[in-house]
Amino acid sequence: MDSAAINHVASHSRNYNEVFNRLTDLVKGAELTFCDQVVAELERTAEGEPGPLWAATVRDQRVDKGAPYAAQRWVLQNVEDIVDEDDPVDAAPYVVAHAKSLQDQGETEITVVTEDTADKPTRKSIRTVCEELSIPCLSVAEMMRACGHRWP
Amino acid sequence: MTQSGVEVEDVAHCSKVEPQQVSAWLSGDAQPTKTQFRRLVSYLKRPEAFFFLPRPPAREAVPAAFRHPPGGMREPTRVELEGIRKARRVQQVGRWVADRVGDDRWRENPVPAANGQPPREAAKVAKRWLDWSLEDQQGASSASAVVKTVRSRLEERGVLTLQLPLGSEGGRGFSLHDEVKPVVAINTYYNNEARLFSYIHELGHLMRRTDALCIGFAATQAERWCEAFAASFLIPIAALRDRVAHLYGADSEVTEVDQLRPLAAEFRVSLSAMAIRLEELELGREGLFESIPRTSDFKRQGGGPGTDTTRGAVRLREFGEGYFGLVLAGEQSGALRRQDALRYLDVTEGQLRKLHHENIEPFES
Repeated sequence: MDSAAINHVASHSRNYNEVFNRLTDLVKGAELTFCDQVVAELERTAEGEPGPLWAATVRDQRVDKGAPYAAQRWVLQNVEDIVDEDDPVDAAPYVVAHAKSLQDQGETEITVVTEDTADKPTRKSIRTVCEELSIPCLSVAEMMRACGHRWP
Repeated sequence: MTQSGVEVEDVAHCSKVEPQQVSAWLSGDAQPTKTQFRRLVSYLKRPEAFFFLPRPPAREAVPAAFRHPPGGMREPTRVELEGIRKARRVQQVGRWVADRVGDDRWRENPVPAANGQPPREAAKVAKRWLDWSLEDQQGASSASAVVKTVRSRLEERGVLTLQLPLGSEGGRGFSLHDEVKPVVAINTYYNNEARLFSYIHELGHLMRRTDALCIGFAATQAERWCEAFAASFLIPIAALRDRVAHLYGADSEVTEVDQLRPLAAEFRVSLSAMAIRLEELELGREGLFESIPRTSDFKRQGGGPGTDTTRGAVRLREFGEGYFGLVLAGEQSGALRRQDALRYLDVTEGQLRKLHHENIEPFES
């Protein structure tokens, strides 16, 4: 899950506490995770908001905390326009690397939950890059419905 | 390293290693440790991911003309290079959003090109374009109010205006010409009177359709032209002659710095600008400019009473309402997601909400 998706839960759900509780269960069950760089990005862009507070609360319960160095390096060397050269906390390349490493480990159903769906002036969106790498993506709404929950 | 204006020795110092070690990193014979790498990232102010890219970015962070300034001018300082990089990013984002929200203000009505006009004629044209009169200077409550007015008029016409801390060693400002979103940036180390002059000076560069980093006074022909342009714009000959005659008598010459003060205050310009103008028009004694302390154009240190130093307020002062309004329009139109708007404004959700309450409105075409 990327930081835009976590913020989206906070800003678009009818009851974000309830949704975050469900997400916490998914994190504990190793069905959902986010990388360390997402936590740092949330702290910078949404300090004091429900999204970073939730991420900080559950971060120690994650089973998987991010991509190994080799996977990060592969993404950075092989994926064009995924790095925003002037944004020190942008987690996008690490989210992609995390998903790619899990996929390469043979996990059968890796899906990136992202609201980073539109290309922007300084880099491609996470969704665009995932499509290029054949990594499935869902929006928060799609994920919630796929999990059988009402949204928003 | 080139884009940040640093040498091997600087990187070695910040990373606490010998210069030979940095050379080994550059040649690929060695790699920094995690701690050294973090120091390097922090020093060069780039994301960690940047250092793993397969090649340097194709687009130069700083225009070549700035890195090798003409006419024996000095090379830009590290702080200036950071400011220029920030301004280029603002311009890149601004242009991208402008194309998507239909902001054609500059494209449809750019300041007319100077086309070899003498500065005085160009100043008349620019004043019409900016809808500017001497009353805007003399009728304002303070120099700060005049700066706000000129900034707002430029933004209304599609120019992005930045106020950046470029340091005491930094130039007074710079401009980045563009067909869609030109940028002028002013060094906040200087006081409001100096900033006003710099805004108009940079407008002169936009009329010349060139990028320019302005270091001190009149080092090149282009700089001299822009100085004369700004002087004609802000200190018209007839009005100045009238005031000198009124204050000191007909055919008088201003000889002392203290005599400069009321004139500079009335036209809302710095002592330096007024001295140069008086000398140029032979209304001031030769050498008057040299008698003014260099620091007279510097801002008094420390924020004024009530200055909001929260990150949101600082970013708004730096980037200007024009850029904020444009990015918010990008978000409103769906071209940018909320997260992206926050990223490009470098503020948090809470800070942006607070600015909304202070009536920072999205641009409307």
